[in-house]
Amino acid sequence: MRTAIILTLLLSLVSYPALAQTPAPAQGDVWRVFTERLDVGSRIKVRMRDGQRVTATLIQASPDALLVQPRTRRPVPVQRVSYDDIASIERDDQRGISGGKAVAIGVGSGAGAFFGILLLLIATLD
Amino acid sequence: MNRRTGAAAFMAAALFIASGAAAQERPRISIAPAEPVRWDLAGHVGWLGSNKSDIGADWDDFYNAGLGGVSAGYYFTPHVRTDLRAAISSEGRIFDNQVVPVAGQPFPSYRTREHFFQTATVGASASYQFFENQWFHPAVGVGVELIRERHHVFSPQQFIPSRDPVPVVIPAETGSAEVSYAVRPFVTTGFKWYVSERAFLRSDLRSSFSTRGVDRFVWSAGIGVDL
Repeated sequence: MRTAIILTLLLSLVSYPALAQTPAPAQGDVWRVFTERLDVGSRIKVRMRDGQRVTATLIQASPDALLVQPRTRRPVPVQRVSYDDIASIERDDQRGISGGKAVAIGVGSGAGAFFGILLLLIATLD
Repeated sequence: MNRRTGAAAFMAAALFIASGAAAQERPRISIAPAEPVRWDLAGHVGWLGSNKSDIGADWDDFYNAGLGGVSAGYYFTPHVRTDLRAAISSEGRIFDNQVVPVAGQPFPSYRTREHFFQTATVGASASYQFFENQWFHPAVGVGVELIRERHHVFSPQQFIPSRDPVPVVIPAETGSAEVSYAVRPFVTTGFKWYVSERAFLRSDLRSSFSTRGVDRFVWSAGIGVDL
């Protein structure tokens, strides 16, 4: 029994550093695996290594590159992005305008219109 | 050129070319549309406040007026644009007091005068527009505007009490209109909020300066279209 315990302890001491030395997967591989598991058409936020941030629609996660359609006012072509150039990707589950934003826009627009009309009235009365 | 110098020159050239190539391969996701917008046109209405502390009484040295105009903008880049704007205001008014000496009266009397102003402006600005090809674009800018101001004074009839049984009556008086021109620098901030690919709402604040400090303050809002 004592021998078994000693052997187990020795094995755990030997195997722990071996596990710790397992090299981390390349960053590009991480994003390839991540995007392969996303549904086509998902809305994602991509941050590039040069600092650029883009909200885009996932078109295709091919083995060597990511195809995305940037979400812009005027349509732009589908873009091919190398996984190695990606700093981070996150899903953007926000669809349309959130309740908070809608309230903020409504209040802001209302206040702006109110003060605008008030100023015009002041101008007229003067 | 010996071999060492030649090798050094070759290395330098190679590094230069490589750095250039690396710069060109810098990863970016293009969000520029195939046909970039160059021009936009807009119409606007707004409110004008103008500093008249050199004329008006302390209690009334700013006049307010409505404003309307048009603008045309040209984009040098997706972020840098110039804007030409023409606007005309409604008539604004301030009051001041004029000292009127009355014979035999030991204290001065005052007469109220009304000053009417109406302006037309033409301005050019350069501004930086944040974001590219998005729905909402804040912007900041600077510029200069030429102001044509028409000014006339009206003094209503006034009765001034005196010791005589009959009060002194000063008849109404309308002064002739004077036109003046001034050039003022201004700063501006505002936004374009697109409601479709090319149509937008815009609003901005513009403040021009003179030796009196803030000379004019304009808030405007309007609609426009990218061409």
